[in-house]
Amino acid sequence: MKRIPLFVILFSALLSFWLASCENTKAPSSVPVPGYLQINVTTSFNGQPFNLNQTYTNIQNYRLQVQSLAFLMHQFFAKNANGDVIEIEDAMRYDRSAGAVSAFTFGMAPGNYQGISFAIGIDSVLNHSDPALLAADHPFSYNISNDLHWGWSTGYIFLKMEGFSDTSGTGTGPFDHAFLYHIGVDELFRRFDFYSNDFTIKSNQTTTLTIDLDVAKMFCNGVDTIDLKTENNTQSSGNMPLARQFVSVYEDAFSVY
Amino acid sequence: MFFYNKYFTVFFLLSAVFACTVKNADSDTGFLVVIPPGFDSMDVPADNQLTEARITLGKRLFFDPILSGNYSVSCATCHRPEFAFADNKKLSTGASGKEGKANTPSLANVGYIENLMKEGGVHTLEIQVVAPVEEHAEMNLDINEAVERIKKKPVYLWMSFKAYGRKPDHYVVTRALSAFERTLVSGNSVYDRWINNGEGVSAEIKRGKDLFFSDSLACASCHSGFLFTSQEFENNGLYDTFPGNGRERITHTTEDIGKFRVPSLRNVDVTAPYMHDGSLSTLRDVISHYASGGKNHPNKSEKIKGFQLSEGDMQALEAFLLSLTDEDFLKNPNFRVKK
Repeated sequence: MKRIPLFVILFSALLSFWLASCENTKAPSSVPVPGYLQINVTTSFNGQPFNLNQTYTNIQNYRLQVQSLAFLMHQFFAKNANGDVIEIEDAMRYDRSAGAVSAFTFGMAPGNYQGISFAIGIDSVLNHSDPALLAADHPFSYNISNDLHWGWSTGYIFLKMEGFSDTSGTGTGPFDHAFLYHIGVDELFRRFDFYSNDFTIKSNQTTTLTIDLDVAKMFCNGVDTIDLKTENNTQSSGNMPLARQFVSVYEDAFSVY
Repeated sequence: MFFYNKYFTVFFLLSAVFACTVKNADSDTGFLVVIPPGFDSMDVPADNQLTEARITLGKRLFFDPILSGNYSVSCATCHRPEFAFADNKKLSTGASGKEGKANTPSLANVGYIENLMKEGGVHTLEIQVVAPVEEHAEMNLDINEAVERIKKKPVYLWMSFKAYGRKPDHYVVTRALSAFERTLVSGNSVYDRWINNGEGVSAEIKRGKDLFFSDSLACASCHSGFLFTSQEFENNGLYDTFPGNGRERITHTTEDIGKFRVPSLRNVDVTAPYMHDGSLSTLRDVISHYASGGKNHPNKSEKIKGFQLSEGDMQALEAFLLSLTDEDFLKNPNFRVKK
């Protein structure tokens, strides 16, 4: 009987072990194929499409035209069925002058989710950091959001709305009352939790959610009203009472569906 | 071989051109920072350590009107070397023809200032340098436009790579300007040489120093330390009602209305007019204001109680303040550009 050399036996054993190992690594993965969540950020006025420089009438029967509306959104979270909160995106900018809808898509694990949350504004750490350190395509960089950064005081304008109003109440008066709301500073950072707006992510499919800001509700939340005749100018610093009031009103102006 | 030769020749010629350009730019600098005796070491951000290339780029930008909307003013238009990088106007006029909102502060020793701007709302030079560029009443130029302009100038492209290893962008512009400003260290006045080296000064200056540091005048309770500023925010009783809110704009507390950062007194003789709004013309006006005890604003500093001075003591105090002028700093060729 011909003897098989020892090194051939050892080599064969190692080869078998290696092949078996490769087979194991090629075994079907249990990690599910991700799906996608698309978030559309929109603005409306009493449920109707909102356009810059279009005339609207608010609850006080004042006519108004918004010339600019932009805001910075930070720290998007989703809460899964187990109650775990997952960060899905860090930073976004919505600017109505760039279009009616800003859409963002994130890859997410399939499953049921209780809802999302986000902030209007920037947390105090990033708010006081140097925009020049951010990548050029970061939503809060000088390249993209320089118009929403205060130079004299490190920090961002979280939300900016400017325009003119006709406060005569007749519906035919001149648009001679300017309004300007520049909301910033740390204490006006606000989180918005919509954890009762459940949704499902399916593999290779896109689920769409819309975050809408109703501009009409920025002036009246059913409890408090911003009077465009007298409460029409704050750059936060210099008129913090109005800035706080304005924020407390627009806290009810966002919805998710 | 032809390919190699052709491109080698082009590269060689371009290198020679840029080398000449940079040599000319560098020839104005050739220095870093010397910390004077008695001064603390300066905190410099890790990503913006001072190098000759960075300082040279920052200096060039500082003196270049490219940073103003209509190319009419540079940083140095208001921050003039001969006035310790302040100017001699109550309020300066910017590129747009608008008058500024505050008296131009001196940049001498600005690398030591912890809370920049008169309200103290900015904490690094790298962030602060954007403010005057964009301010409508100052240089009136969007920082993005400034960067685009700088990118288009080959000399800046070259200097940027040399200084920071990248094309000009916001990072480079803000860092380079800050690097240059950190070199504006002033600590070689008559007073410094007297204290540090024992050089002789007049009896009047000595008397003025005693008055300055006396409990009765209490000047040094705010103008303290090697910079002659506590860097705190004080309401000095200049007005009953302040037209600007000062520190309150940052803190949003009424107790801070009318408070502004205590300025350094180094080179104070050449930085007239005085106060945050330039409303007092002379050092004597300033001393008289404090002697009077100031207006009765509810936030007025408790340190301002008023005092009486003879004419001789007034002159002695003025002489002491004049001894804080650093002539070497004002005339330093490293802080100027060749015309």
